[in-house]
Order: sequence, then C-alpha cells, then structure tokens
Amino acid sequence: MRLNRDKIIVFLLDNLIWVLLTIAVVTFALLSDRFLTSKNLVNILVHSSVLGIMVIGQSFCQLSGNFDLSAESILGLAAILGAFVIAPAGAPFFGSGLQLNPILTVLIMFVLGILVGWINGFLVTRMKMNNFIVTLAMLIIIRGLTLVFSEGKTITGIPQGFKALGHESLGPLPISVIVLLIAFAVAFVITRYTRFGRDLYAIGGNRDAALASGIDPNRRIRQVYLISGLMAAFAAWMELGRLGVGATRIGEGMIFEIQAAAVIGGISLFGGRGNMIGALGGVLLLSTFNSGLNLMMVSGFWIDMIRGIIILLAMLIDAQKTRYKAPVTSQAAVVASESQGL
Amino acid sequence: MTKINRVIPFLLNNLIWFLLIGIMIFFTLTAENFLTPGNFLNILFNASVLGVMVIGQSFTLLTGNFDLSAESILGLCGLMGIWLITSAGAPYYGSGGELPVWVSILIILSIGVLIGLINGFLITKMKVNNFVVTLAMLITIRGLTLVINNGQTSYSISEAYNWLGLGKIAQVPVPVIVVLVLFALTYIITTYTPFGREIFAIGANRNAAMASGVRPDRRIIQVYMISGLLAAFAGWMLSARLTNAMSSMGKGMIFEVMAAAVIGGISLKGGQGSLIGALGGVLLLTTIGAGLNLMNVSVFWIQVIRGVIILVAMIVEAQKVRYMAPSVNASQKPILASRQPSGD
Repeated sequence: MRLNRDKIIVFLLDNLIWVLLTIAVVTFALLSDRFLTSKNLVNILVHSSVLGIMVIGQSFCQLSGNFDLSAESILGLAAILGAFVIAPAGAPFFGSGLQLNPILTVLIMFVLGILVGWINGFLVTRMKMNNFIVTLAMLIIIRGLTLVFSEGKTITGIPQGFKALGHESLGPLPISVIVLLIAFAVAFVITRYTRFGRDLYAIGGNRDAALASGIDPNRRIRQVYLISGLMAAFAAWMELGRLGVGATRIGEGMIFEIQAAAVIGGISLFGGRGNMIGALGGVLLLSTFNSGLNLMMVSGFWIDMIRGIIILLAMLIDAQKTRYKAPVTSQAAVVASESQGL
Repeated sequence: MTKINRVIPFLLNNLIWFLLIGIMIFFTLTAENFLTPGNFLNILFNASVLGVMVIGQSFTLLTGNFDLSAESILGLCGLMGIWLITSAGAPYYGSGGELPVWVSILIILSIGVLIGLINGFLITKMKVNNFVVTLAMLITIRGLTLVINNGQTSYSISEAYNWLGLGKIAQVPVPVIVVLVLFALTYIITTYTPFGREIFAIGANRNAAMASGVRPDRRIIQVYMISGLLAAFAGWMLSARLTNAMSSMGKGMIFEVMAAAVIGGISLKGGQGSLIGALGGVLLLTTIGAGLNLMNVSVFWIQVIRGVIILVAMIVEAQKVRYMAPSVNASQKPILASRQPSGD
C-alpha cells in the first residue's frame, strides 16, 4: 500500500512538467472560453515552434554539460544574412540584390550556423576554454556582426517560397508545427536510442567516467555545438518565414527564454539529466502561459513579469521535488529506478 | 633560470594590466587625443556604472554563484529612483509621488537589498539552482520595470538626484571618485576581513569551508544582498547621468558585466580572483570602447571588436591556466575538480 502511494508520487514528480501543463491548460480553459478552441491550440503550437527548435539545440549542449549562449545571436545573424542574400536591392527592400535561389539561401544559413558551432566547439575543446565564456563572447561578437551587416535596417521582399516554412499550412496544421513535432521526435530518438545520445548522457553525468569507458568527450562536445549552430540557423529560416522580414533584433534576449524552457522541462544545467520530451513540455508551458494571459487581456508588460514568476515557481517546485525524492528513493530504490527511466 | 621562472608567473598573474597597457600604447599610437587627461577621466567616467555592477557580481562569483538579475535590478531601481521623485504625466512621466530625493534613494537601495535577499533565500534555503533563480528574477524584474511606468521614460530635473551621475568634485566627476573608492573598499573587505576570506573559502571548496566553521548559506545570502544593493546603486548612478530612465535601461548589460569580471580574473567557478583584477577588466573593456570611438570606428564594429577582444583575452587566459597548471601545487587540482558536483 505504502509502496503504491510512493510509486504514484514518484511518477507524478517525474512527469511534473506535464502535470503543470495540464493544470495551466485547465485553468485557462475555465477562465476564458476562447482558450480551448482548435484555432488557439494551433496558435500556441505555432508560437512554440521557433523557441522549440532553439530549445532542442540547447538541450543537446546542456545534456553534455555545456551552454550555448551564442545560439540567440546565430539565429539573428542567420536570419539577417538569409534575408540579405535573397531580397532585392535598394529601398524599400534593402537586400543585396543577389536574389539567390531559396535552397542556396538556406544552405548559406546552415553553413553559417555550423561554422559558428564549429568555432565554439573548437575553442571549448581544443583551447580548453570555459564554455560559458566562449559562447558569451560569441554572443556579443555575432550580435555585433548582425548590426554591422544590416546597419540597423529591416530587410523586406523575401519570396513566398522561402517563407513557407514559417508561413504556410499543410491541411489543418501549419508546416512549422509539423516540423517542430518531428524535430522533437527525432531528437528524442537520437538522445535515447543511439550511441551518440547515450554518450551525451554519460559525458554530462560524469565526464571522467565517460572518458574511462572509451568515449571521446571532446569529439561529442564538438558535435553538439555543430548541432546547436545548425538548429539556430534552422530556427532563423522558420522565424524569417513567420515574420516575413529580416530585422536586426531577431532573437535578442531570447537565450533566457530558451534556457528557462529547457530547465523547466527538466534538462539539468549540469548535464546528464532530462529528456527531449520534457523539454517540449517546457516550451509548451511557456507558450501556453503567453497565449492564456493574452486571451485574458493581460497587458504585455504584466505577461513578462508573470512569465518570470512562473519560471521561478516551477523551479521552486522542481527543487522541492529533488529534496523530497532523495529520502523516498532511498526507501524504495527499486521503485524509483524503474520509473525514473533516463 | 630561477629568475625566468619567477618572471613568467608574475607576468601571467598580472596579465590583465599588461593587456591594458598594451591596448593603451596601441591607441596612443593610432588615435589622436587618446593620451590626454580629459580622455582618461572620460574613460573612468564611462567605466563607473559598469564598475559598480562588476563589484557586485564579483562578490557572488567569488562564492561560486551567479547573479544574472543584477541588470534588471539596475533597470528597476534606476527607473524607480526618478519615478518616485517626479510629477505624473507629461513632461516628466513620474509617479506623481514627488518624494524627497533621499527617501527615493533609500527606497531603491532597500529594493535592491530585498531582491538580493529573495535571491539568496531561494538559493540557500529552498535549494534552487542559483543560475535559474537569478535568470527567473531577471525576467520578472524586467517585467515589473515595464509595468511600473507602462513602458514610459521618466525624466529627472532634480539636481540632488543627478549629482551622483553628473556632479564634480574639484574637476573630477563624482562617479569616478565613487567607483574608485568602492573598488578600494571592496578590495580591502575581500582581502583582509574574515568575511572576505570566508567567501573565497566557500567558492574554492564549500564542504571544506563548512567543516572549518564557515556558514556558507549565510554568506551566500549576504553576497546576494551586496550584489542587489550595488546594482540598485548603479541604477541610481546611470539614471542620474542620463537624467532619464527608460524601462529597457541595462538590458543585456549582464553579458558585459560577466565578461569584465572574468577577463579581470574572477573565476566563474568561485574562489579565485581579486577586485583589483576586476577593475582591470572593467578598464580594459571601457578603454577599448573609448579608443575605437576616437578612431571613428562605427558603433556596430565596436561591439564586434569588443567581443573579439574578450575572446582573445580569454584564450590567452586559458593558455595561462594550462601553462601554470604543472607549476602549481598538485594538491589544488582535486579541489577544483570537487567543486563541480557541488556547483549549485
């Protein structure tokens, strides 16, 4: 009997993010009758898509015990670069006039993301630099480059075909939402069922032990930075489609929200713990709050503040969970190890 | 031979000052008007707000903690300082409270301390990770700043309030004197008082510090209160200099604060560095900004170049750690390694 109750509690705690999300959805559904409509739910998913893609990249880094603060700037630079090479020149477009083919444009953006990721990985692993500092400096440099590049102008005249990823729908679902769900599914499978994924957990959990068991942590860390850069460039493509214009400030300050979503979703800051499905939950929780508060006509200024408080509360609950679980797990170690999964 | 062995560590330990001198020589040769007293005062003037922020951050970093929320505290307190003393509506957009300046300043400094107390309480008593707590606080307080004045800019016409930013004592700007005094004071506190030694001990090895009778939780709450207080003070200084406060004041500044502290040798993992080094970090960043400005480099490029210099300085720093590792007593290594699991 006692064991059963513990089992339920541990199960609920392990899936805390979904419990919180359910509570949030039920609360908003009761408060606003426009919340639980299919249109609004799709809207929440659309607003989750760019953030979600960024969170996937960040989660890869965090699982290995690394940060990638520069992701928000990669998003910004890739977006402005993409808009620049694809748009016509002169006012009112302010593009380069190259009007490159969309495929080539996307490739250029991806190359940029991968290149920055490569530099990050190189500095962190080969030059033995602290990952926080490397990506912090890169955040500043790349945002500066974005300013230099765009000279503060907004670039318009992006062709429809290129914008489809963030703009069009396939049947009832927007393409960005379908892509988001597929991306999370793929990331989940990679992290859980491939050697690469297991290596990341091992490195994040205990780097020395991982090294001793034949894993090359540096190689894996270089790879996660490549993934993170690539995902940021991909998110830039999506964001360009959604906004329809390339602006200098795209992604500025977004890193705080990205990390908040990942951490609320259970991805540990110290590596080795959490899973991609939880991270998706974190993204959805933040977007649900945005949408719900918007529907309740709360002013945008209040929404920012409430969002911060929600993150704080979620983390407070999470910290208490860790404290609560410590004695429970030692009492019923078998139960815990079964339900803990990863 | 022994001489060289002594000279190299000396150079490496004071790397920030050699970098600073190198940069100054470079600008003296390339930019006209760089080597003038006026320009030096200007650099110090520009360094003052960042400097105050870096002092606060250094306290938390020394214990092995972050305070990301400092930039939002600066924004909130800078806005509130003006908002509380001015009339409502156009042209000043204040609260209409028109409080006396000293009351307003007392209130904003108390708010800073209070937010620090909340941060410290959540981190030590509720065991929430310091990065996450202060990240959430950064978002919350920035939201609060927007809410308070509906995103409006407040304008200050009070000379008493603006004195901290614009006043002069014998030709020297008040912020310059204040920041230098603060650095001297905090250097003494961190180096020569039991409080200072304890925060180094906590940062280097929390469990060992606890075993030797230090109460880490209490000290960590105190450093967050210091950080909050200094951020509020920096908010006053910045809004006084600008004579107005936007709700976005200080946004994104935390990156520069961290960069200056770390370039100045304050370790992100705690327990290493000094306030004098941190001052060097602040001066380096500010000097680069001023020098490039004199060379008529575009503002956009200045940001890029600054970022590159931060990166280069950190690359040099990382190589220094690698170079010095074998010569440092081997017993220090396990201490550094054991910090990682207890990093929260």
